[in-house]
Amino acid sequence: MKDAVLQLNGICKGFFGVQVLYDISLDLFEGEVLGLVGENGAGKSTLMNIVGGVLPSDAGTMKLGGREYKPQSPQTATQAGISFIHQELSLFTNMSVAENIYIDGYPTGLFGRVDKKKMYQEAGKYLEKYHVDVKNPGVQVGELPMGSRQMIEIIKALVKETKILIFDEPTTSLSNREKEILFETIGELKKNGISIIYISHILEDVLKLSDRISVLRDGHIIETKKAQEWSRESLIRDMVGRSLKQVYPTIEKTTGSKVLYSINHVSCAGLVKDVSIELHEGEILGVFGLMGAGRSELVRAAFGVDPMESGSVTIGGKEYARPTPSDCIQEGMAFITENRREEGLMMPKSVNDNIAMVMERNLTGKFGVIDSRKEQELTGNVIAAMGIKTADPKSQPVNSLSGGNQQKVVIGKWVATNPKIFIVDEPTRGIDVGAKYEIYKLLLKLAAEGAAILFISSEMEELMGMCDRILVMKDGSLAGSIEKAEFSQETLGRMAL
Amino acid sequence: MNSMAKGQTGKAAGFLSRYGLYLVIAIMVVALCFVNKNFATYSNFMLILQQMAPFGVATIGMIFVLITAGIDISAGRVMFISGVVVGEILLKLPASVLESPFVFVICFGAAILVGGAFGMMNGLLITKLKIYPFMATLLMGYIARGLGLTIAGNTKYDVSILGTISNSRIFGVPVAFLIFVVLAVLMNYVLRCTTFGKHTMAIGNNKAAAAQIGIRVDRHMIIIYMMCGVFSAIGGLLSAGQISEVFTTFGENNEFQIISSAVIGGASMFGGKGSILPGAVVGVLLIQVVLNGLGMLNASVYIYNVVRGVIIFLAVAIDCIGFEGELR
Repeated sequence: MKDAVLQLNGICKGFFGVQVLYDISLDLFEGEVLGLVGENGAGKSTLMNIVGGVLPSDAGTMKLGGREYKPQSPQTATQAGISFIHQELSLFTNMSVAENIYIDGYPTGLFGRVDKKKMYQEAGKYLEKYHVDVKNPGVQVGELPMGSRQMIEIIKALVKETKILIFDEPTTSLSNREKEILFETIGELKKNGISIIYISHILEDVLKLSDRISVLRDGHIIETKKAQEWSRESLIRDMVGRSLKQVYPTIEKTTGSKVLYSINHVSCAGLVKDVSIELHEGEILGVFGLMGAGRSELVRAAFGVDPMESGSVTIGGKEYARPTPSDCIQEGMAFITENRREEGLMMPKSVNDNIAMVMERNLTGKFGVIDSRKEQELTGNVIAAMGIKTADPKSQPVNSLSGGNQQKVVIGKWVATNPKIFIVDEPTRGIDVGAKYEIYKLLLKLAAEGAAILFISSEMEELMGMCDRILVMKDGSLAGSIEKAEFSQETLGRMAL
Repeated sequence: MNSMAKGQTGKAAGFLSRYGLYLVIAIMVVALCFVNKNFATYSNFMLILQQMAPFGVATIGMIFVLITAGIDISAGRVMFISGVVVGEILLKLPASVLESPFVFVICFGAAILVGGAFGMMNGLLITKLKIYPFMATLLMGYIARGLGLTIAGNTKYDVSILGTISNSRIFGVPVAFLIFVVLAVLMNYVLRCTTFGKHTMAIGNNKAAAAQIGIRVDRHMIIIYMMCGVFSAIGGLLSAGQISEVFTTFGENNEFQIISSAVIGGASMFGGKGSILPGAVVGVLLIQVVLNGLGMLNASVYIYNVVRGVIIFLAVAIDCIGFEGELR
């Protein structure tokens, strides 16, 4: 075994009397990938924040390359050779690739002039070395796809002679192809002696990439062992602390023959071409497609969020050539957006305020005043029905909830209006296994009660586990429809590519 | 995601947004040549250059503020109070100093101090008290104007001595314009070629990320608002020198001409975007040609306000549409 680059010894951390990390000890060796998995709230981010100098630890020591390491700030961690690649990239989209790579230390010459030539040359070398698909270092980052941006973020760390790279959910916004490139790069980094901590909810990736995997649950390291000795099942078992036999819940339901909702020959400028869909009572209809296939664009137009060029939608027998979101809501539709941070929730507002948002119209009493007692009652019901874990629904802001609970608030807010038709766009993105299960259960229950659900996702497995039928989109049009009996990764993949 | 569609519409829009301004200026110049034969004269062109200088100088500072996604509504009122303070100083200075070139050092030094002080207050309110830039600078503007009026009362200051700088010419070129060009080139260098400039861009794009990589965002913003105050004050003095007096409505509403010049020149009120060369310079020139053209057409004084309003509307509308376009 090579030397340990980073050693954690008995790290403890608590917030306001609540212990978050208990006596964590962990070694990271040179040139290895250490996978770190755990449910949301297990303490992964807190641990990484301590390593990255964002938070101080209460007890315990860290050693970096054999020497004591006590970061005071994120900057000292960077200087010591530890870099983070976060879920949300910290690149500046209005600046060039080279400017971004050297942002925290430009090579300068006379009169503080930034040495553009040198910067471009150096950046160019790195871009070439890691085969980044960028024409030249002068291209604006805003014009690049997410995959290239991620690579630039990595290069930004390498320029600073990083020894340890910490990836936190790096693949959430990447296409499959981009993901492969990222994994190849990680392999190359390993060869160059860089140590990597890889945090992800996507267990297949962690199993594939890592040399060793540590499971964190409720602030304890449950076990660390070689990746070969782990399996998906054993990982899940250790993560949730019980064996989760099924990833998808089984709830008896039948698909009715009544069409609740249909999309008729809808086209949107260049992105969606003549798509027709019929959605039946009690049906969960999946829509699969690669990034950029037009899935989200289609449903956004179908809900009236974005304009459609031609076509119409029929909701409960009424045809709308130009649906607006308020038409759709009035007709009993719900739209759970893929972008819950920006479009689904008012982050700083309380759980109650968020749930009451859509149904405020129904709560309005005399003189247009909102009946607060009724509101209390309804939100209370929703919180109980959804199983939202919140200490104080009246004042706890939703941005302090975990991802899974946030998503439940989004769904709950719509369920409160009793809709019959749901459009859900990537409902489980960035949510851990346990919370996913609960979201699936909620959706199935809604379908069992007769609701029709249009389920958009880029995870094949999720769609195959949940849907009665899957439509595949490719380049803006429907490439095919697959019945439950014929579900297979190969068929789906072949149609989507 | 929708790169194809964006590419096609983007090309035409990209061409227009890049060269549209030059086109508009060219069309206006040609049209005005036909309407009034006094327009296309050497003396009128030099007049345009001379008149655009004060606003141009102030716009340089505003560009930095806009890039950080801020705004400075106090610019016009900082011009006013700087003018008042300088007017007051000129009243008190002995004749011997008034006749020496030293007087300019005193005047501009005082204006820079006043502008810098108000700019610093703006910066502190925005960064330390986290007041929205619009509100913070609006209230500082009121304070500036109120203080100015308290000092001035009904006095109309004679600052014709500043005309020596504002109205004189070297080889036929207005000195005020040369000052503007020098400052523009200098600050363009700062914005484009120095770490300070790059960090300004970074802050405008993503403040949280900028702080994360160790940029001292608060300090940076305070400096930028100070710069804006200083450039407004210098612009104010140049303007005062041109009309040779500071009266009670001096500088009023100038901020809107300054902000619209910057926005027309490509700065975005959403931050992260803007340039001095060519951006600010072209924006200032465009507005000055319009105002000069109105003069040539003998337009009523009231029409000026309408035209100014329309220009601001156009600038802001283009900015907002462009911003949406980039997001999608």
